[in-house]
Amino acid sequence: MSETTTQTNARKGRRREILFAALTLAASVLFGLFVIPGGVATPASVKHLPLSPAFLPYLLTGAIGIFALIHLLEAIFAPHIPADEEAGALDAHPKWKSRVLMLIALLLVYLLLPDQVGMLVTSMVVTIALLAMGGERRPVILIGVGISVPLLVYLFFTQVAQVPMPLGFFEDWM
Amino acid sequence: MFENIATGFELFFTLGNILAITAGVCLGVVVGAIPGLTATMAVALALPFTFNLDPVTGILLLVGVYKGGVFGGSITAILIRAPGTPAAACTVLDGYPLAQKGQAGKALNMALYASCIADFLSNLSLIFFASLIAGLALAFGPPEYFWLICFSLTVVISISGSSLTKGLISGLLGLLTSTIGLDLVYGTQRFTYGNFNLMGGVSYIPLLIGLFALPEVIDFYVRKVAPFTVKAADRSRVTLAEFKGSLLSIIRGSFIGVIIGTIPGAGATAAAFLSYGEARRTAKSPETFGKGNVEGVAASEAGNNGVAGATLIPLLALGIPGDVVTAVILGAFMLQGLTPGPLMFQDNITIIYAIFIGIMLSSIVLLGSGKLAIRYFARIADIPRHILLPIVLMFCVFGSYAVQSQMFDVGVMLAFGVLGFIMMKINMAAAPFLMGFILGPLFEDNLRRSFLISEDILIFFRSPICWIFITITVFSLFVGIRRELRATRAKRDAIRASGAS
Amino acid sequence: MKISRRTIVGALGAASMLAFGTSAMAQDYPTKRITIIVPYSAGGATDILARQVADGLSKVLDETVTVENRPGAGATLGTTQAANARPDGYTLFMGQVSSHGIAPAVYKNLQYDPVADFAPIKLLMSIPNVMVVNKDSPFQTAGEFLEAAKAEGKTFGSSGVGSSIHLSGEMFKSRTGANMTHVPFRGSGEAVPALLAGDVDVMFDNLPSAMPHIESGALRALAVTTPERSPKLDGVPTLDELDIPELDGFAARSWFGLLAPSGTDAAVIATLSEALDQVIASEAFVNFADTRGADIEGGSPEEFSAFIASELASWKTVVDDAGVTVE
Repeated sequence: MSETTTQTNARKGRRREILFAALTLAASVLFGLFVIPGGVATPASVKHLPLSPAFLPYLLTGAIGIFALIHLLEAIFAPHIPADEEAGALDAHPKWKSRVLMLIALLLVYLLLPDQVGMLVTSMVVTIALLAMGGERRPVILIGVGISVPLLVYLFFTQVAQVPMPLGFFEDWM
Repeated sequence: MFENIATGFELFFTLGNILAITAGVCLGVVVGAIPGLTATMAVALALPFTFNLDPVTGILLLVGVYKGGVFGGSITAILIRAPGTPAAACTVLDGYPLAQKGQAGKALNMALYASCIADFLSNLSLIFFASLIAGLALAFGPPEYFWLICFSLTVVISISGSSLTKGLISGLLGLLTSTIGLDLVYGTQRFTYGNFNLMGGVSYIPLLIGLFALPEVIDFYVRKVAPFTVKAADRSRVTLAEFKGSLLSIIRGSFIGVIIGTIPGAGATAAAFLSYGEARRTAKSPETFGKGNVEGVAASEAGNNGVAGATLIPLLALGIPGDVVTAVILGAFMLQGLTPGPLMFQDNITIIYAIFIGIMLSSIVLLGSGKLAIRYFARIADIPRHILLPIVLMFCVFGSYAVQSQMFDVGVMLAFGVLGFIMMKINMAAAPFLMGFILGPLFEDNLRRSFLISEDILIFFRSPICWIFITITVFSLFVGIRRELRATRAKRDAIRASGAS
Repeated sequence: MKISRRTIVGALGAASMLAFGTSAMAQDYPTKRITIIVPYSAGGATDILARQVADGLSKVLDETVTVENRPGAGATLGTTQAANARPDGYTLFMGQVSSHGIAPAVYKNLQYDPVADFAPIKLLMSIPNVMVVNKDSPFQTAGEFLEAAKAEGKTFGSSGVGSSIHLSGEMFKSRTGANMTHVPFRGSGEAVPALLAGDVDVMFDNLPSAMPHIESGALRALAVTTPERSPKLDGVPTLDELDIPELDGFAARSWFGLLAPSGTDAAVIATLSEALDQVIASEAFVNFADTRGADIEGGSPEEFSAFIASELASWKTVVDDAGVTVE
């Protein structure tokens, strides 16, 4: 690694740390000003301050703000220490944006579909899709693993561990 | 006494008992290894079988399941970064990096050895010191508890990873997340926004699975990785030198586990983290922790298994169940017409001895069945990652759902998975978040309970135990922060030196 | 969401009834696995009872009966799910004082109706709450405790806001005007040690969790909260018989009963009711109840309905008096 790339990386890293600290600081301020008063119901009479339901949230938010400020000052004034993983984090997949979207779509399928078509079918669909996304092209593996493994795991959960899984519209057939 | 022990032996040595404990441990290991299915669930599943067994056999079956479950959690923690049980979360820190280096076998075996040794020491404490240390369970009122939790929270410094401030922020975010749900004292809502599913708080296991296992899955798909890399079969073993080097941490972890286990409600997860923090604090090269140090695996597994025998101390000596598992075991005792507590030591001492003998045997059974389990489970590491990860994701979804039969929990898991991925990308350690989330309710509850009890701040200084924990909390903070600051300064000096040259 | 699902399920149920005829279905019942929903996690008192009942029912009906734990939000989550389950007799619900007594009074935005959404089958078991103090406590009777509490202020422990343990204490407090501070814990398992250690002064614990400590002498029972004395604690008076006017008619207890979602065939309910009669009369169940200091109840589905109605009314009064509600 040449001197210049090290310096560019350090500058990028420092900018990222400053951005992170500034965002955290802003978030803690917003949280303290709006989210806590809106999200925590405080009873009318509280004898001692620590007994209030809002006490700990305020305390924690304040502490987060202070540490974010420290981090910000550190990132601005002290030399940047490259983290170990920074180098490795750069080799993103060439089509990572479309892959992220696909992944989000598949995760949403896992969240929304089981109530409609049942957990078994959902897991088969997503597993096959992910196998294909991971680069698997052999139909035997795609279909074999994609169907048999979800089925076995499903049977284990429902029959051995006695955990009921969503059946979706299959419920009406049974 | 000796004739009691002899009768105990007679009562224990039946084929049924030995089968029960073996079956229990094996079942526990398998169920514990599956994310979402915890030791508690395994014990509850086994409970109906004990209805028709005689007391000793039934109890040993449950104890076997419990002990197997606590170890089983570490298997998937090491192999796929999905802790099978919450207590194994700490094992992820060093176990998974080892597995990434192709040394899953080493990590698994070390986890097993540490678990068995800790289990054995914990059982010995149960048998010989039960009456002596049972009093600890009652010596911990809300203020003592509060300081114990403060001390435990200082471990966050040790598990913060590359940046102390980020680690602390992570821990604070965990604490903040733990305040979601119905308020303990007033029953008012906090951050639930009328959502029924959030009233009981964010579920623990989906959060855990999401935070640790899911980022690995997401990362795989957005990174440029050759899809068909198969690692050479893993032949790594624990060397004698590594074992000797970790022995001190194992023994220390076991005793931390015993003490935490004796205090009702503190839990195996806290013990594992405390033990890990201590091991790192006293290590010669603390910077290797979190990057695949086998001693880290040993320390955390010793911590959580040390709890397993010790939770039986308050149960048998005082009739107080320290956690959910021992509550089920208490239920099993009662179904058999036995009441754990001081009276049982007078009336049914032979049954107690028979159980003690069985419990001692369980450590050995654990070693055997653990070895067997490792042999088969370790093959998971040989599965190509593009095939393994979709299956891991499926287990994450199934496991999260299984906890409460709620799709909402799958959502929780996915949400914390995304959060975990972001934290991974900005180099913020996830372990402090988990630590904060677990200890948050204990911290807040005991703070507020102390105020409810006395309305006087002096209650926080009421006993020697308070002072002991205040002292070690301050000490641990001072030493921990000084060490981290020094390490940072050293790194900065190195950078300045290289920049100047 | 809830209504549409129920309508669909109901319509399907009606359609299948037309196809096969009601009596045929009920006569064959049961033909597959029956599930009992428990709104608490595995290992709790309700769970253990449900497993005992499941074990007994599967023997009597000769069909597998399993327990499904659906904990969360103080039992209301699992109850909501049971209320929405298909009313075919294969999903039952282990109701208790919380889901069908206290919760409807405490939670404002409850998503089930304890009366309209359920068809009661049988009241199975009830357990008294018992007023206990530490063995080192200076108070020998409930009267002595009350005087002290009026004068200087005492603390009472509970297993959490809205539990029967908490509300028994609130009932005592609001009736007598005693100065008592509620100290909530998470479950009896945490609260009892605090009482044993003397960190809280009194607790109106469920008898099964207090019983071992009363027997070993670590806790002293001052009174039981039921109208009659408990057979397990002969020498302990009821609060009612103490000659303290404010405590006349004091009754608070925990109970458990099996329910089905409303719309379940009456013949199925009858089959289950008969089967449950056999279960609660069995030696195993009698033993089970006895070791926990519980009273076996029984009675017809109609009696259980009336019982639930009276429980809902009386807890509503307590909750309103004490001012405990969850927004």
